Amino acid sequence: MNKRFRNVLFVLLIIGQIAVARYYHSWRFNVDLLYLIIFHIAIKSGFMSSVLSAALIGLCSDYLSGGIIGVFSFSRTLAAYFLNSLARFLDLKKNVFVFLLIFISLFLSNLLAFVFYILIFNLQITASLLFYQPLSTAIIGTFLLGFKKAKSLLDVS
Amino acid sequence: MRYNYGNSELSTEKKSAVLVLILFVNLILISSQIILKNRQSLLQAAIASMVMPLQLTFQKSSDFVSGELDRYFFLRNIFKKYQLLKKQYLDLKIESYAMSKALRDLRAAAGVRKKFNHFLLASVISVDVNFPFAEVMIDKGTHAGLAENDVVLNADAELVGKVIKPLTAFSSRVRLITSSIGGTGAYIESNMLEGLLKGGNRAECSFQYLLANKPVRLGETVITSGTDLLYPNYLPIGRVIQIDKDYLTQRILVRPFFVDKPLKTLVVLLHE
Repeated sequence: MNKRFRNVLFVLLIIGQIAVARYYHSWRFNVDLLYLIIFHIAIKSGFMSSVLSAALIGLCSDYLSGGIIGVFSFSRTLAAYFLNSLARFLDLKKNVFVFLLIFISLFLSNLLAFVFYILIFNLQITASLLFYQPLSTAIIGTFLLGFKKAKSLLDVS
Repeated sequence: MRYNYGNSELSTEKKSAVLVLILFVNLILISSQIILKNRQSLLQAAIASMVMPLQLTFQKSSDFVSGELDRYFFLRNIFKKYQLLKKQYLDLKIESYAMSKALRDLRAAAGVRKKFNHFLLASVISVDVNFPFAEVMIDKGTHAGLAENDVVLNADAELVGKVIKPLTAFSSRVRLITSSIGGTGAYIESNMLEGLLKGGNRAECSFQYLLANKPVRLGETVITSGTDLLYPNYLPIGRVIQIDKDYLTQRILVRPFFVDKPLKTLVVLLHE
């Protein structure tokens, strides 16, 4: 049951991210729902699953964002590695920690991508990538993972 | 929140290696999209800068090897041509030597050919250094038809000596008329006064048994008389160079013609 709920949630997140990427300009809403999948796998699974899924999902993010292939894959892989390493030391029962962990890790991951885009490719990236996207993603992530029902279904309690 | 330790069997080194590998692949992907000023991607430039030294080394090595091979084959051809030319040069030299020898023989035989029909050309191969006016050895022997007492002349058909024993198949000894052994019947050509020409192992011969009252002048030619039954008559021998009066006879010194000429090629009159 938990596994099925998790898979359904992942599919919904992917569909949602595709919709966000497609209607980004009209919605003016920037969120990285795929990062929530990475986050969940990183804190729930082992090292190999974390980094490999992060690399693949990062490639998908690159494709959907229409940017340079490999930048998000690189930053998300590092983020997954650090999340996987830090998860055992953090108390994720409290939603505030979940929020902060998602926000800070996504911020740092986007900062790394920002460095690539600005310094290497001279692309103009708006501040929404650094601040609004982590914030909105952290809110949605906390919302999804914060409920007791969701925690029990996702087996994160 | 429960933590699943997952693949705890992986060591830290392996984890690091996997992480580095994934990041490296990502960097490769990124670098392939960085376009440099020369319109090449960073990946292409990096690969080019890695491959270029190898390419240059290979190119220079191949250039060096091909150059050396070209030079080797060039020198080899040159050497072959050189060997061929050297052989041709040697052949021509031998041919030239043979032709010059044949020409020399022809010239040598020219004076003799007018007087004699059966003769043979021979070369002096050795001279006795202790008695150079006694004997010489020639390169013809019994195989060429020579026999004892065959008359030997020089190229101008002037008397030199005769063949003596022992003869071998391919060499013969020639006793010169200046030898102290034997003698030669001779005339003073101008008045046909006869005497005996006797050698002394030196350059001059003495003309003996000519009476003191017979007139002889310096420079007169001495020829063979034929009365000794060894030499044909009228062969030029030499010239009178000194005349001294003795009690009954005259002491006349005759210098043979062959003494003042190179003794290389001799003519042997074959016996009839």
